[in-house]
Amino acid sequence: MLERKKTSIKGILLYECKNGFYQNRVQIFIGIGVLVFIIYMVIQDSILLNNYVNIGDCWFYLFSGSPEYIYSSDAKFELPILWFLFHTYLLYMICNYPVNDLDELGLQSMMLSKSREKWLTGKLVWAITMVCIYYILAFLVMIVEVIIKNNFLEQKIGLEFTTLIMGDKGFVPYILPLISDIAIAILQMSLSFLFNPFCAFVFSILYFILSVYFKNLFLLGNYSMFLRNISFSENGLNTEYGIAICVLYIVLCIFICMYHIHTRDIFGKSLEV
Amino acid sequence: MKNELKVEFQRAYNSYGFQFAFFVGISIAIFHFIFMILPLKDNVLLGDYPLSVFGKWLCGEDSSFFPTLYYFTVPILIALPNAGTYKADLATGYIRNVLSRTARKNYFVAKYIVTFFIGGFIAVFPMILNFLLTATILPAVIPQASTGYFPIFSYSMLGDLYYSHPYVYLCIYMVINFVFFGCLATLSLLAAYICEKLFTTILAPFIIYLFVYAVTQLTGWHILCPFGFLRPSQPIPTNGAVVLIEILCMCLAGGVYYYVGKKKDIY
Repeated sequence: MLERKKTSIKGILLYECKNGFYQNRVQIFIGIGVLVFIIYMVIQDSILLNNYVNIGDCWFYLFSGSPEYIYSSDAKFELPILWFLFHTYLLYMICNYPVNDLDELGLQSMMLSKSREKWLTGKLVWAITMVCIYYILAFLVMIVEVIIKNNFLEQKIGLEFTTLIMGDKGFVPYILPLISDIAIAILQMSLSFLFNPFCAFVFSILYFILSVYFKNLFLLGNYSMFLRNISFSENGLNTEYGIAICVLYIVLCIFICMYHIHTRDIFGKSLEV
Repeated sequence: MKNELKVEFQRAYNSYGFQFAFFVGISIAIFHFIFMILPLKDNVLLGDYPLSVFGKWLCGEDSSFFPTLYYFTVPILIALPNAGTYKADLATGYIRNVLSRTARKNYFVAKYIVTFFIGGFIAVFPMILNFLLTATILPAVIPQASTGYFPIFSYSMLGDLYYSHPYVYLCIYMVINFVFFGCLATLSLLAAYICEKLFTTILAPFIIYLFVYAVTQLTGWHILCPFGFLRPSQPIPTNGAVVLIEILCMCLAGGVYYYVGKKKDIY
């Protein structure tokens, strides 16, 4: 009975939930501190008239990114700091665990599951869950900080999205950063399986910097910047294309991961630096 | 001590981390040359003042993404060759074999020196390479403040030196970069005591660098930001005291690493 429980996909997911979060507990804990700092700075910068701030404006400000960069010898290239810190820390949190687990308990869980694909599915679900939790945490921290900020001023609570921002655009552009981050996280994971986590992380940094520099359909970082979305900017990128390309990235990376993990020598050399 | 240094240098030099860091560093330098400098070869004399190597090389300009990329990847690259080996030595038990044959002081000092020098080398070599490559296309015309083509202002650190003796200015900046990144790499030796995982230990310098960058930029303390003061183009003006204090803080961390290491029960 116990054996069957461990080999089922449910057992694998349960294992990932327990072990994955336990292994990354320090990073998650520090991540909450990072989010508190980021949201605090967002609130400071997005205060409207009368020191009133609402959650829609904060969400917009956090993911606004930067407008399209046009190169000239006089121009100065600058990264949107809050946006960059938010995404870099997320990828830092989830970069190491899937590969590192192969050198630790992961090998045993793979043996017990009797399927490499099941094991990889567990890792993919864990990565997606981590990205979602990070966004949920950001949203919760934002709610708390907005309430604290506005109540200290004895004004409204500030949990509404302003009509100025929401309009008739629907909610999809607002969750596009989440979808693009899931795609980038899975891309990073496949690179960390193919090479190693350090290469994957360096690639992620390169990828985000290139995304700020070039406005391009296939640089997914562009979709996590509202100022480059057609809903908010005249020459922005299309939301539907964005979702389609993110899904394409996810499918391709899962296929690569599946192929790699199927052929990988799991008893070979451990992680070397 | 000589033997320990030799062994540590060999370990660092032969590691995959060194090869990867070296490869990425020189790739950035070469790609900058290919995409930003080579297209300028027919336009050197087109403007009011000739294009100069001092204003166009990798760390002398602010308009392309290459300097930003370089100054964000270097804090990761410097720690790859040797900074993680202390953590690995503790985990694998290698340190016990070494310390049973040599004095503790020799091992810890050698580890620190090698991490410092390899980190500095990984950071500065691509800069030198890029400057030399750029100099093959663009002339070393002395910068003129009145043209407005150069990024250094009168209030910038060593601003006068940049316009009077640009080579001396660059050498001083190379030394600052070497020392700063060398010291930054050694922070992961201290992080080995705190972090559980090799990954977090090696990336500790980068995470510290990123947080210092974010906090200083967002709180208005731009002058303290290493991303600004390490770049010879000085996108953020600074002064020598800030650089010195930050380097001293990192040296202090090195002292803590040595002190804790000497007292630590590794058996």
